[in-house]
Amino acid sequence: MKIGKVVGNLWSTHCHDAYNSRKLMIVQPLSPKLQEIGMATMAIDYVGAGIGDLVVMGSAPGLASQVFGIPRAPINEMIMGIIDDVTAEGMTD
Amino acid sequence: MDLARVIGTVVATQRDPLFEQVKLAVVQPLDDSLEDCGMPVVAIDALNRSNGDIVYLVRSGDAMFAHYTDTNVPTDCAIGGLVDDVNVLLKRGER
Repeated sequence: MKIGKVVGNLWSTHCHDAYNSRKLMIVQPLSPKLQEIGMATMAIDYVGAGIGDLVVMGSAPGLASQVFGIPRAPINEMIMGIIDDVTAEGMTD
Repeated sequence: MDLARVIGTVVATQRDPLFEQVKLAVVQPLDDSLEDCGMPVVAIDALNRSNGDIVYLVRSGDAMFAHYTDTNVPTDCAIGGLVDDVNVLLKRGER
């Protein structure tokens, strides 16, 4: 799983059924020292994260099917938790 | 799931039988400010998108489920949906 910050959101009405009525957010992956790493990507939020929140996001084949209870869910990244605090001793920048 | 722009199609008459009625689109991955980033890839397209549309891609094993046929289409990249609007409030550097 990765640490990320929600930086925006996205609307999509014409999409696969598994995305219907889902909340689509744009998330920027961060290092444990909260620096930007890599490209922002899209993730489905089901824990109620807002723009500017620090979140935990992750993806694994078949994970979305279990989480949403849909047999065939073409979904990768999902926002699984909202972070209150991060500590990471001994990490070089 | 990365954002991407549909830039073309692929026609392949000799293909895996599981691929029979599947449209193949050439898509250019984009970053969150909708600029090109990375190499174009081929994605299966169940939503019949046309060139220039901004879509989002599903990758790896989950892309198999993105087509409406019951069979699992052998692919690692699929179009998940059409993007109506992107709203990025925190620009790069302010994150």
